[in-house]
Amino acid sequence: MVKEVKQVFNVVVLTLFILTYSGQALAAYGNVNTTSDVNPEVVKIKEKEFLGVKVAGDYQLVDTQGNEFDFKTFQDGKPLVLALSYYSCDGACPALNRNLKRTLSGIDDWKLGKDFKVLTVSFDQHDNPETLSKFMTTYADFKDGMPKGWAMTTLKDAVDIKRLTDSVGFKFFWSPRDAMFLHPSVYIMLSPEGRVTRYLYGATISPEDMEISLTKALAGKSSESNVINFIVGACYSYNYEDGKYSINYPLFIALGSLGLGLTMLAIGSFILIRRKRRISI
Amino acid sequence: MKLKSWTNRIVGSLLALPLVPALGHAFTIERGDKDYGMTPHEHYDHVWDVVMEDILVIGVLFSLVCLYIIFTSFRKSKDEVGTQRPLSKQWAMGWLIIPIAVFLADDLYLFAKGMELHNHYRNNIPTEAQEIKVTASLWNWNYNYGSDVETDGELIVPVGKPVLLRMSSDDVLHSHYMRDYRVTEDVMPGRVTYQWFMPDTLSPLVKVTDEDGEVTEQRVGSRVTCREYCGEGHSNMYGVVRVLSQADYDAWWAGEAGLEAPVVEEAAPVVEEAVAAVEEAVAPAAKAAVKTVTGADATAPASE
Amino acid sequence: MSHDSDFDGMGHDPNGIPGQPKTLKEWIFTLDHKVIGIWYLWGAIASFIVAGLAATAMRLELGSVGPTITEDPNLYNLWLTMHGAVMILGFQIPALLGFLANWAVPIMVGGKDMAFPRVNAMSVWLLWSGIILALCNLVIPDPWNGMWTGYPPYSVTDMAGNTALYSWIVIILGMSSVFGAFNLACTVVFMRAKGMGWYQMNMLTMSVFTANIIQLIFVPVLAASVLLLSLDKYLGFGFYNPEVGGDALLYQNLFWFYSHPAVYVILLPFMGLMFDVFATFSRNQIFQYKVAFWSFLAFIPAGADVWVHHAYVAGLPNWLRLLMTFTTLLISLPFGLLMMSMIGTLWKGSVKYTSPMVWAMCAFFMLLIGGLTGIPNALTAIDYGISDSYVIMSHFHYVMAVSGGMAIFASVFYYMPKMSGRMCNEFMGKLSGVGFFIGMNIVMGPLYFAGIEGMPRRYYDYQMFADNATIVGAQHWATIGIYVTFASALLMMITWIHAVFAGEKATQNPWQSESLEFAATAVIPGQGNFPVPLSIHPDWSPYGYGTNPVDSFTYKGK
Repeated sequence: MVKEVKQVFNVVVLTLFILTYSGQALAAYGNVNTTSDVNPEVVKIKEKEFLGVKVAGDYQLVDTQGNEFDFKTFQDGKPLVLALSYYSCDGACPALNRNLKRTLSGIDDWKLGKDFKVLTVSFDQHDNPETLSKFMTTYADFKDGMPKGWAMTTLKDAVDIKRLTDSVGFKFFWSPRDAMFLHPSVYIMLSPEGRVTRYLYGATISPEDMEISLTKALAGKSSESNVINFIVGACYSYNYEDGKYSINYPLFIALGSLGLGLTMLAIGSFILIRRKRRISI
Repeated sequence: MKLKSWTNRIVGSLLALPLVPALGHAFTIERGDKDYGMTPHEHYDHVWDVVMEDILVIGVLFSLVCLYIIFTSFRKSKDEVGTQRPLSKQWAMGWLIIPIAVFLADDLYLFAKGMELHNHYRNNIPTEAQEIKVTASLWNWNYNYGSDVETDGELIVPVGKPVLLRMSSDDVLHSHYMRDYRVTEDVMPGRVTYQWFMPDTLSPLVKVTDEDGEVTEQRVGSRVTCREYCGEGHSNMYGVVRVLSQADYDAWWAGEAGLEAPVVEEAAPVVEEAVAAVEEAVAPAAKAAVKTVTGADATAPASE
Repeated sequence: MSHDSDFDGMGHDPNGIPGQPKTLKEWIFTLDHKVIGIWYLWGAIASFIVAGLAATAMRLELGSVGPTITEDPNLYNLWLTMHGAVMILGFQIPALLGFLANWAVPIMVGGKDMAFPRVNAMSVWLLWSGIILALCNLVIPDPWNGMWTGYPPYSVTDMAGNTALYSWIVIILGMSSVFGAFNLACTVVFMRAKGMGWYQMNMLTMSVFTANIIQLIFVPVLAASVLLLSLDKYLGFGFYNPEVGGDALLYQNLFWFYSHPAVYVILLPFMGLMFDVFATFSRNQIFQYKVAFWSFLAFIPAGADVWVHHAYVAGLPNWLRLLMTFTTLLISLPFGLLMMSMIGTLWKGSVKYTSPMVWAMCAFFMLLIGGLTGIPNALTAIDYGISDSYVIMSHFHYVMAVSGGMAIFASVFYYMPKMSGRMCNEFMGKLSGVGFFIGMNIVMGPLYFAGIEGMPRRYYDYQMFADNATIVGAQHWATIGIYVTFASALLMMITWIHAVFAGEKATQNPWQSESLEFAATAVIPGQGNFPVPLSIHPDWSPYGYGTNPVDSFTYKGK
């Protein structure tokens, strides 16, 4: 039973804004109302099936000014945080992007634009530059424009929506009665070559998690600085149950043990040196 | 004195000599779509032959020296002792530096060869490769080709097109090995690993008798075996690669995909159960707050 | 040698140096390093018998396609686990760092005993409790079958059997090793005879010293990572469970971070022993003594940064694989220098092929084949084709298992006169050595080619390769080879038993060695090793054949 509840917690954010408006307490993980009968499986991302898939780079994106550019050019061989939203939304999606902005401001080691990119893409085929600019200014708190390295876009070709969302296992449903989309509130982390490295859930994420995830994405890249990234990344491993990174305890226990061994050796050498000195005196 | 320092210098420079050609080649990582003019497994066979020749030459030379020493050093009388004395400093340095130079040269040569092959296997994955998802479980290989087409225990690929396997495990460690393509990679829970190969020849046709006693001709290629110990069924966890001609592959694909053709869905499908469930969960006040946003009038957000 | 007469009636001292213990009680409660060494040897031989029988059973099972002598793959997996774990943890490490290091090293450095005799006794009894626990695995209802490596997540599932037993065996043997290592290192440093310098030490002493430093540094890592397995399984911590934030791959890294250096813990002492045997029977100096001396020490840094080559195909980053390929290849430098020094020791020598020499010579050629077959394995790209196959299995049997075992048996023949006071039958000793060499080559040679054909390790059966003539033929030949090996091992043990009870009486220095354990002790050295403390001439060397000064060592008491 406990496990089931935890699984519910784990997985997906469902309609964050409804819960916010209704004033109900938020569950610890995933912002899923614990009393809800909603089966989160409906929009749950099958992580194990989709981790590692490659996102095709040929999508044409359109930004708020109507500029067109393609996905791969934008990513530019850097890790990318992909946030799928829809722009007529006034609850979960603005929150997703606002949270991301706040989260990114807590990251010191990596610079947005220089080390990684962020891309918000709409999965609603009716979105266009107008809804997008409204979303930016009214809901999502981007009145001053987007930070460098973060693009908020729609897909030029409506067919691409299904291609993109299917390829990363992102499911969403239109609910006519409630007039909203049901969808997971998730940041999809892409590696420099465009593979999904991690799904981070909107409500559980902390700047540390995002930072570790970016560090790990950078460590897989063939570059000279990746040794440090790899070592830092090795200190943490992803906890699927809690949706967070946790410290890789065995590594530190083993390092402690190695320290024990080296200490024994050091004490031995110390005694040896002292004894030798005493003999020579 | 002068002579001695000169000999030292000469001997010392011997150490650096083999580094020059080997180093230049060794530390250039090649990325991207480099054309090696052969498939990875042909490349593997080439490097394998080089390494085998290398260790054979070293082994035979060293063994000959050993045998010569053995056959010239038998004890002739009871109290005879060996006549070896510590080497002079010059000789001792020579016997240290020259072997190190030779070993290092050989190491670097093999490292360069191995690095090129490694780049071929790991850094030059063709971008047009077909991706197949491999899921290992106790004790089965599952191949998912996308579009809900799956096979168990047999990997079906068209001839002449590179294939990239994206692998993970449902339970314990496994390791996916294909004999014909000389490629192994562990399959782990919680992590994703990759391997790619180029099926360049059709699998041979073999007569296979099925359970009903019917004899059919099938293409049966090399074995897929598990190479990481996974318990009782470890030695039973094997499959087969079937390399089909493009026409056969298309026919197979049409049959498979046709059987379980995915229902053509709209971009935003409606799920009544989920909605109903949400409805119950949502307080009336919240429902009132939900603004109407439909596809038709999306340009007029309800907050207005 | 003049020193023979320096001390009149060695071993027959009027004050009566006690020889070996007489009663069982004295045997058990002894603090004498030589008797403790013999306890280690018995433990090692018992382990060898158990693990050897497991190997024979496996070979019979694999002799033909399909179930042969058992239809239960788990029983085969149990044999395989017992073979690996007991051979390494129960036979090789105790025989080398227990028996050889205990019996010979204190005498070689001219000491009267180990630095801490009581700790020494504790080490040996910890070893025996570990061995008995390991044997329990054969009779308990839910035996451990997760192999000696114990990779999670398999090892934390119920399929793997009794994980706690595995953890305890590793931890107990680890404690035994650490205590022993600390003791031995102190002995080498502090217990040396007056005047003995570092460059006057035997190669065996030096190699054991190096191996013990490796043990001291790395064993705690192994013990900790294995303990976490049990915490994972029984208390649900999930250290290695990816679902709750653990990492299954980390265990492999931690395990091999110890266990690769552990390979050198085995390799170095038996190479050191081979040096001693080669020098004694060629009555010659070590070729490039100082180079060999430092080559041993070079294995500590060289062995510490290569562990990833055990996990080349485990999804680690590409740059790490290439880096470790390079560091792995660098191991060929100290290894090659040691091999050159070893065969160079025979150069201009006067070699007599006694049974220890024959065993050591055969071990040398096994080591040569093993070293050469290690070169392809070092290349990460080559490993994509042969990883976890019979190629790897064959390689480590050549380089570590069989050559190490043969060197250990050489040491038993070598020290038999000093342990029992009697000589082994030379003909039987040589015959068993050559037979073992030929037998093991018939086993491991063909299996190398089966591995090239793709035969994976740890397979109970190979019906998927039933149409591959190379693999089926290799398995068949290997099973024939095991009969030869089995017969030779049996003959070897008969030779030992015959020697102990009915062998020809040994003289004080039967091999005419210059090394202290032969030259300066009684027929069977008693407690305290030397009648009175030794003092060493600065020009003396254990390998100074023909150059040692007349009064190379003197008894202070005289």
